[in-house]
Amino acid sequence: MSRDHRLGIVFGLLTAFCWAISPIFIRLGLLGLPSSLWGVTIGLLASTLVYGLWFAGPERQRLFSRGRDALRADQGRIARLAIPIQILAGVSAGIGVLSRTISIDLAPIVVVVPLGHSSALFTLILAPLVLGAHLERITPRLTAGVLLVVAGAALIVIGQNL
Amino acid sequence: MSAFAGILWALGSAVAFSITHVAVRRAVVHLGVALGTLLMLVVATVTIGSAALLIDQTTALAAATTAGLLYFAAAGLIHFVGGWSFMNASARLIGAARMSAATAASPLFAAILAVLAFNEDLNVLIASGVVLIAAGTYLIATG
Repeated sequence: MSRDHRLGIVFGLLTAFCWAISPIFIRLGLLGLPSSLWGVTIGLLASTLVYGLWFAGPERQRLFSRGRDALRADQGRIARLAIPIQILAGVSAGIGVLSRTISIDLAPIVVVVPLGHSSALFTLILAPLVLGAHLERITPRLTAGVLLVVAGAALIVIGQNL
Repeated sequence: MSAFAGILWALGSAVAFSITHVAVRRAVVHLGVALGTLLMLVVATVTIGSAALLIDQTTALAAATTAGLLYFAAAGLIHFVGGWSFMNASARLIGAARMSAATAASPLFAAILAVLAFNEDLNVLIASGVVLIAAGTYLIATG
């Protein structure tokens, strides 16, 4: 296993850790602002402000410039599409949050939350189709791993809501 | 009927997040993690803010307490600044499929936190889920 692969897995698990902690604060926030959509908007606004201020520092402007210069230097078709594709990522993430919020209002959490976690299954199918098998190598171990993680997530959510 | 609609919305959210993961994998390689995350934050703020205005209007926001706003701000910093930055970095290194699988392990950490920090009960289903996620993560890491 290469260093990049190990680091990538660690970053993925750190993402999962952050996403496990945030609902604690969301539950507390709902006591004072009983609107999930506005709550998420406030969270996004705070994040954008902090990230923007972080970018204002001279060291971080170097990171911003590097990204911009890399785009200019790389004249490939995909590089030129990087900004619209990332905009799509942002819109899609927003739609995902909105859909999840609506689903929780309509159906039991024990059903909708595990279904929401099935995004890994959809990515397993979508990624090689869209990105190509050379970028997304789908192995039997990866497939088995995804199935186990999705099943395990479902069991935990069901067990917490019994 | 509404429960069925809820299931469809839940599946819709899974598909939407999947599209996000694939798009991020494609774009962040060229943009870098920092710029990519900032762009996502701006766009998502506009998207969800517009939905909040249309669906919930401004009544709840106008009556919000300071504590509520601060808690949501903290949740956002953890979920988006932390979570999305790590997500973009992960996708750049190991691709969308492996990143998506690793991030799906969040119930594992939620269960551990619930048991250790909040003294919640550990039952057979939760324990089984923890084992499955751990095994699945191992296969993803070594696959």
